[in-house]
Amino acid sequence: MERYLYFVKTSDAPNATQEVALYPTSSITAIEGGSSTSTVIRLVPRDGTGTTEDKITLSHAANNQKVVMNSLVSLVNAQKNKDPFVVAFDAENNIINIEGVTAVSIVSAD
Amino acid sequence: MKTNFLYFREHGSISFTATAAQTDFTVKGATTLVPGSFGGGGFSVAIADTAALRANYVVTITSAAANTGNRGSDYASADTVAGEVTTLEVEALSITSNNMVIAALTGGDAQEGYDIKAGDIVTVTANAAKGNVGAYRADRLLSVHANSDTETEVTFQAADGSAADDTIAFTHGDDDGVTFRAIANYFAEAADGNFVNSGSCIIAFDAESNDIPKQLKGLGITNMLLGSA
Repeated sequence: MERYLYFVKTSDAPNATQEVALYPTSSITAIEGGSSTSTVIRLVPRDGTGTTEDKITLSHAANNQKVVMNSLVSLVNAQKNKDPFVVAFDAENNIINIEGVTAVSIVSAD
Repeated sequence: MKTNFLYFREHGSISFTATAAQTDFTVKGATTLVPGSFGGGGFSVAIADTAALRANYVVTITSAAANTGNRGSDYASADTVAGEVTTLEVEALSITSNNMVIAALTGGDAQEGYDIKAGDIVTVTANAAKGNVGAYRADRLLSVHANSDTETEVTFQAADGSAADDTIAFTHGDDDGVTFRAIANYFAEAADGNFVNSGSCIIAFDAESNDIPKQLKGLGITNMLLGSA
């Protein structure tokens, strides 16, 4: 069963572009360091070109990438969860299911 | 069906114990890898220059004893207590030849300088960033191949969709393919959905923490370089 990760950037109602997004886990191409305090989920772009990327940037404490990546992959493979809709990070409702993540930003190519 | 992600982290940390009121520390050597090797301190890629040092590394000093007036005006206090860890202002750092030079306060930099005392521990750590840490989907594995007698490369489909691959290059001794075979065997197993720890982040090679799977330990791998498109 395909699962979908839900991200909300804002603490108020997410109603603008790149404030909220849902991606199938199969769209994840890699998870990489972004900076000392961020990790980037790289995704197949929705513009269909295959030559750009969508990106979710996860902010966290310095050099905590290993913990964040491990938690994210566990979420991707959470087979006990039968619901395909998986909340990864929802700032609006203060639901954080990726360990150590304090904020997200969304960049979508279209 | 679980999706295996293979985690890689280059090594990028080294510590020195100051033997005197020194300012210079050898962070590079005749080759790009020295000093040290992963697990023992050192860098996968040599620090290029002052700009790279300031932008991509963090330097801390752990004070061995209490000191009075050994830090510049940019720090919270001019004094340090025993065990206190100071993150140096980047302006205090420079590269001269193979040495990292820390500007002294006395007779040097009144703002960012630091007077190092014998016994202080100086640590240089590379910041995690794109290109030195990543988790790659096992189902995007393209190949394990030899680049030379002493280098084996693992490639993944580029995350950005470009023609270039994402690459992991292992440096090792020339042993007529024995190490290549061991590396290839490991990745064939780790990519499989039935591999132990499937569904979690599989630590394929964490050189920074010396967290290496038993299948790759003891092979004489001296460096791992990550290349991300």
